[in-house]
Amino acid sequence: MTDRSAQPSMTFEEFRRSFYYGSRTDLRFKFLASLPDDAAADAVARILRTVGQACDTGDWDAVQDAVIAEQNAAYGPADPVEATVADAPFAPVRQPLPELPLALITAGGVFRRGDDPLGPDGPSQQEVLGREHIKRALSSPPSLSEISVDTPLAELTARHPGYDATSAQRDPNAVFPLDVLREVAEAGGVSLASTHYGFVGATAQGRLRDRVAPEWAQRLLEAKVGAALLVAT
Amino acid sequence: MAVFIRAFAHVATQLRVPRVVVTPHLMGHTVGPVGYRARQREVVDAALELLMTASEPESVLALD
Repeated sequence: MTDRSAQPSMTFEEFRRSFYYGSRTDLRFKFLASLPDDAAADAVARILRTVGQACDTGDWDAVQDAVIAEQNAAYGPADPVEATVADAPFAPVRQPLPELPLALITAGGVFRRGDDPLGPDGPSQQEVLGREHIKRALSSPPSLSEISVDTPLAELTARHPGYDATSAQRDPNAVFPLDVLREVAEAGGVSLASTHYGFVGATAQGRLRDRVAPEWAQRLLEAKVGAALLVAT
Repeated sequence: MAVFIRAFAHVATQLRVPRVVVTPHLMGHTVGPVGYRARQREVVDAALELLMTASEPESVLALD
């Protein structure tokens, strides 16, 4: 049994911050780091209450709902937000969807095994969960992984320093629903482009916005893509 | 056409994204929970429907 008396004590603030690239890093709960102590304590208490109730009732969906509610409360703004861009572009779709080649693009860091954007010895998801790595990612230029439309689900994986990508590793459809779209296409509901895309949204944002995203858009136009489904994480 | 979780729907508002489906899911599960294919299909269908039916900028569809 662990001798807890030998361990240094930790304040609650240190505890809640430890989920955010700290000793207990778990990006599903990194929102605790951004809350004041009281709010974070209340959030933890509410989640634990639903865990206790679920032990009796078997309602584990309520636990997930509780975590989602706390996540929404932590990340959502207290007041209505204002636009940060001047334009609100919009192009109505005038063709039937099956006539518009659609490309799927995820910011969830999905890529094909064997085509790791960080090279053949790319880090694991666990290895990118560090302050230095997220800092490096946020100052690095984004890179776009290409994923052929016929890529089997089992050949997809994910890695991302900003969210817990183990879920996307278990099921890429959670952030990159290519397999779901293939099902729709088989039923004639959509036409899929031959190539789809993944990138890590935790990247140099200015470079992405001002230079790289316009280049990517041009690539899609040149590939005759008619519509795009973008999935944020 | 973009899909955002509710926690970050305000980002779509700030960016004035043309069409947005907002989902009530955990971060990293934008389209739906792991293995929950039926839900993922609901979200994809909703996104494709919004793509076709939206008639003005900043169209938002929030899913339960």
